[in-house]
Amino acid sequence: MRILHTADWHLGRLFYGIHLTEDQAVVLAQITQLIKEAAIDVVIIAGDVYDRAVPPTDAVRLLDDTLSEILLGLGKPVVLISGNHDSPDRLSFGSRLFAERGLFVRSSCRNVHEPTILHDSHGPVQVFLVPYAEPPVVRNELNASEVNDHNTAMKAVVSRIEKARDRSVRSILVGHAFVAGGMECESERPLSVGGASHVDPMCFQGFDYVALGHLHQAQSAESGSIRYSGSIMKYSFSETDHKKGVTIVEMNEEGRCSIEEVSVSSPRDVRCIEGTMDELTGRMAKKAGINDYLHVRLLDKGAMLDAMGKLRRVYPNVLHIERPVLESGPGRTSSDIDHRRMTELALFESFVKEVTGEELTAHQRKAFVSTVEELHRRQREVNV
Amino acid sequence: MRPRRLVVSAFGPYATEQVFDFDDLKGNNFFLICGPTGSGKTSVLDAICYALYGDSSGAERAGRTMRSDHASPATETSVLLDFELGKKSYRITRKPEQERPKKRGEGTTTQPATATTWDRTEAADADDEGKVIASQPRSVNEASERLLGFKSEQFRQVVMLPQGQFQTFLKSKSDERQKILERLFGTEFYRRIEDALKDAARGIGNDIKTVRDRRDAVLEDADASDLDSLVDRQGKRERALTIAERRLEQIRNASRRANEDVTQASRVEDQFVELEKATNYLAELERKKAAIAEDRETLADARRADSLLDVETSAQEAEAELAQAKAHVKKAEGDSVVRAKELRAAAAEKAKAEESRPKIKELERTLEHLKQHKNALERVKDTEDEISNLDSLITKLVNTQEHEDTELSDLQLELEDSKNKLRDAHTLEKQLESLQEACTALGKTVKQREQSASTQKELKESQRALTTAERELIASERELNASKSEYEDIEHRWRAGQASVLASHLKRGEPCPVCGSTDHPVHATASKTVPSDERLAVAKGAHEKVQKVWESLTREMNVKRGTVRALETKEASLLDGLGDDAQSSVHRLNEELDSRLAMLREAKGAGMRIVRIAKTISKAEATQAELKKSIQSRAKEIKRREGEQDKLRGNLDARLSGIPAQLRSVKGLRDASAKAAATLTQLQTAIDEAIVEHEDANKAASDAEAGRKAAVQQLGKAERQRAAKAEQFGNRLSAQGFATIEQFQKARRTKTDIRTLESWIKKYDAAMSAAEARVKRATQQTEELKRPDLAAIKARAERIDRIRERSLGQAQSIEQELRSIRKWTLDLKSLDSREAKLDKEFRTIGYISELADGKNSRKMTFQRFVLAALLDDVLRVASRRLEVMSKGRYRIERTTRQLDLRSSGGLDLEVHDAHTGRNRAVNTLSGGESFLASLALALGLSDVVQAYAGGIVLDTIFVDEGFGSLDPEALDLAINTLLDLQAQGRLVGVISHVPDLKERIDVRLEIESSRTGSTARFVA
Repeated sequence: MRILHTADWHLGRLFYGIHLTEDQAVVLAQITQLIKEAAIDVVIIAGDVYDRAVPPTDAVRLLDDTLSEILLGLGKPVVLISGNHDSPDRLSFGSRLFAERGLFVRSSCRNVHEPTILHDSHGPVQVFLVPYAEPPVVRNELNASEVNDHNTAMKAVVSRIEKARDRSVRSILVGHAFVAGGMECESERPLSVGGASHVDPMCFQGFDYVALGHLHQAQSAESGSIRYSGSIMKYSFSETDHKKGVTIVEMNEEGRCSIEEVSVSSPRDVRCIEGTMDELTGRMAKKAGINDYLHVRLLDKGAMLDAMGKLRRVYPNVLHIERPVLESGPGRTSSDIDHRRMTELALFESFVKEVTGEELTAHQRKAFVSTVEELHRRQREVNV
Repeated sequence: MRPRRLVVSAFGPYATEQVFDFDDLKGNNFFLICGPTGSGKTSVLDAICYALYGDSSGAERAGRTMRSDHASPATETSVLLDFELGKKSYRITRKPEQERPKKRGEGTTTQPATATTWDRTEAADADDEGKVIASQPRSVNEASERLLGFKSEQFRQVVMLPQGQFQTFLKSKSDERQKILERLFGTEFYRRIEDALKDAARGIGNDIKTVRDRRDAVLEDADASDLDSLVDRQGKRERALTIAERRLEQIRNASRRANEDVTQASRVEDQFVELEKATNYLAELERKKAAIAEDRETLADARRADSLLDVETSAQEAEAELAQAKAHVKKAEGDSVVRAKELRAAAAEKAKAEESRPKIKELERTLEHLKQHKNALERVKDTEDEISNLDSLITKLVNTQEHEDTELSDLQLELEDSKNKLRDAHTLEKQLESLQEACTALGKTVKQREQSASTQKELKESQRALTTAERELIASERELNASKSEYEDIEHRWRAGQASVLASHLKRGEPCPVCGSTDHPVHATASKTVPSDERLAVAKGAHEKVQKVWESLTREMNVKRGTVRALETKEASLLDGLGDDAQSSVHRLNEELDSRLAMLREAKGAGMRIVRIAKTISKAEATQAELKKSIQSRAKEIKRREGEQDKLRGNLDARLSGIPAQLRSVKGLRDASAKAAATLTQLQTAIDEAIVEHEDANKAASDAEAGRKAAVQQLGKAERQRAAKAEQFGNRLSAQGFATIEQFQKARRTKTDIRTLESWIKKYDAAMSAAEARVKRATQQTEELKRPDLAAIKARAERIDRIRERSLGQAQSIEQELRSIRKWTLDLKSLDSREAKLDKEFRTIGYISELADGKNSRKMTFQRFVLAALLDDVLRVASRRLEVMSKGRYRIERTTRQLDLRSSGGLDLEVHDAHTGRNRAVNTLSGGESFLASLALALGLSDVVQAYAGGIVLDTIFVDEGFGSLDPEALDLAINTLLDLQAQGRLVGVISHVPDLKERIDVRLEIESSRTGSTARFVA
């Protein structure tokens, strides 16, 4: 069986005020072409299909077109779970109808032990779908009182699956979680505001392949069979050296898997460049990739007005300017913070420090974290 | 957002369609919008704002009120905006809700607002509208917000600084500034955190209240003031319960004993009751003894009567047989009489049928005649068929004959035609030679004529060229004369002037270089200015150039003249050769040649045709002879057939005369014979039936008579049998002791009655002996016992039971109460501990919620804390510009101390005045200073917004007024700031009356107003 494993499409993502849907359409077209050419039997999408609970209409249309092409045009089944950015109920609309045509969507852990059965020439393969769910939701849906964080939640889920699993049949687990030891980057939204969000990789031992989503860098945990395919595009300036793409998994008769990374290219790269204004806009400036999305570290000292306007005449897609010399220099006030780079908790801690001069107590931190997590859940339209 | 083209129609002061084509700026990025007050300067900005967001630049004029009052009712109010966003192009059209004249009839209808956004990135030209991306006013607004990254208020803060409102951001309170920054930087999530914390705190507060309410409710239920009194009550109740339970136990024991006594007494009483019952039963049986004796007698009589039953039965049977025999005799006699009557009737019927026999004979004869007629008629029919066959044969022959006649005459015509054609062909063959000669001559003429025509054309062209050249030469000559005279004039003046030049160098006593005289009485003077040597050289050069041109033209003309003459000669010789044909056109000559050639081709074909036609003629003549012969033989045949037919008709008439007229048709004959046959059959059948019926009646009469005789015999036998049986019965009656038959009848019983009597008597005997034994047994048992007072014993036991019930009730109610008390204390304890826990939680979350909500020493909310950092960035950039514009005097800073203790702070602004070295409030700035500060802030905002979110492109800024409040120097600095922007590629539009600006800015959008509305145009 040849499986195309992908995740973290984040359709409809807004990147420094730019809608990336057009770039995403180009990338998805490459993936569709790959499915056609690489003799893929099944496509697994491990969560975060959309970037937010209520995605823009362009993004919805793009997903519709892509899935229709894969299912109706190429006739390949698709397995899809919801991630921490998706609204579970919205994403699972029509899932029972779609299952008739080979689109298996799962966004609830309630029947997590019921596998989707796929077949190849060697027989059946059980695919267990474990969508992302907050620990309180898992506790409620599985009626498992021992669940108090992401690790215990995943353990409870896997123990349900292990009870139902047919050990003589090959099995795949599709999940959306943060496996301990994974490499993070800026564009992932932390699964937990303050607490522990990691999952012990040991709980996946019994499966032949574990297709994961959430981390945006392609990587394998423990053995090669627990794997993140990574996002299909660079979604932050911390990912400039990532290679984005999908993972093609070849599973043999005994369930042993060999893995191949296939990269996809986005029409505009995401890069960081550095230099003084003269260096960057002068004759010597490198002209290759001027249309890329750029983060510019401007090394000029002293005042500079309308730096963006100046840079944009050479690089039309400059998205962010950083002035390290200026920012580390004197003259910055006590509120020296950048809200985009700090977690809500860290921001709040420095806020409290600023207005009271005191640190947050453990109780206060816990109260803040649970409130903000509840807020995030509400944004995904999930209630416990 | 960079506007490309704005088209407004019946909008504001613009009565008709007005196009603002920003491409007319031709790369100038800085332009002034000027015009008299009220002419519609701000309306340009309003229109852009309205197109994008459906409201005006100052947000004060609603879309509905935008319609121009100058406009005619037929003109629709609409706005069209083409703009670029990075590399993409878009178009928005928008029409406000407006009254429109009805299409039919008078009056107006309200047309709802409409709007559409198109993506025109791939549009080919101005008319190609591109791809629709939004098509409703609301979705267009949303599309604009999405594309530009701004809501309309934000757009007015950083792109379009509206008249009179540019100070909003500078002078607003922290709250309003927060709203603007929140939208610009998308930090509303932090405000949502504040709200969520507040909600959480409120939720816990509510929980605490619920817990307290429940505790109050529990206390009320328990009717207790607090937990302690309840615990006290619980102790008391528990002690009372112990006492009540002990007492209950004692009563229970007493009750058990009393009940045992009752049981014992009841058992003894039962034995005495049994004795009474047995005695009574026995007495009852004794009373029935007499009746039973009577029954025994009845049974004996019945048994005797039963033995006589068989004899009685046989006597009764004999009686019944006799009655039956009498009935038989009566029936047989009746039967015999009926049969005799029937026999008589049948004999009469038979005699009547016999009468029709002669009529049958006659009918048989008639049928024989009819058969003969039928045969004759069949023969007649055959003859008629033969005649009609001959008829059709003759008709066919006549048709063939007529056809052949027609064919013959056609052939005659064809033959004549062929002969004519043959004659024509002979004539053509003779003409062949002369035609060939004529064609050759004509061909030659045509070629010559064509040559002449082309020569004429060439000649005409050459003549035209010659005329042109002559004209050019004349012009050149004129030019040559002019340049010559100019040159000569200059030369003349130069030469004349040389004297004065020389004279000017003369000095008294020095020799003249011309004449050598040392005396210079009269100095030559220059009448006009003396041309310089250079001028002379230039004039000479010019003259020579003109001369050269003239010479080359002259040469050219001579060549052309030669060409014309040569062509004229050639033409004349050609015309001579042609003679008369010179007048005919080439075309006509060609046509004539073509017709001659066609005739020639036909003449050549004539020889072949002669042979073909001759062959046709000989064939046609042969066919003609054959046809004539065939027609003659056909006429003979027809005559023969007609003769045959006549003979047959004669035969037919002879045959028909032998048959009567009404039988000549097949149908008449068939009907007559069918009718005769039917009558015959009917008569025959009637005779046969009458004979059979008569025989049957005869047999039935004799059978009936025999029956009657047998019945009479049987009757006698039955009478004898009855007498014998009656005697036998009488004898047996007396033997059994019955004096009369009545006695016998009375004693008689059915078998069932007898059996019932027997068992009844037997049962009585058995009951009697059992009752006697029972009485004996009961008497033995009670012999040594005394009868107890059961009622008294029972009453005592019941009394004790009642006491027990009461005690139990008391104990239970105490227990019940105790249970409630225990539950209440438990509830209260858990509620108290829950309240304590909630209190603790509330202290935590309430505390952080209040901190986040701004209830802290700095009066700063969580979101403002985040925004403060952003605002600092904005202020840093803004201060840099303001410092330049205010010649280093002002900087804008964020207030870090609390200005107003009542309102929440964190985002308040103040200015640092370098002249005093102190900070002061922004509202102490003068009007002009406020304008500069606001301009600096707006530019600072756009810098920082772009640096934070590069997807938002700010490449346009419009400033509506405000310059009037500046002194010339400040104005210079402000303009320089804006010029800096446009140098970086931003489009800067400024609205102002200030005359200085009109001079400094070379590109202007000038608006002129008139009584019928305004018009505008770009002036560069």
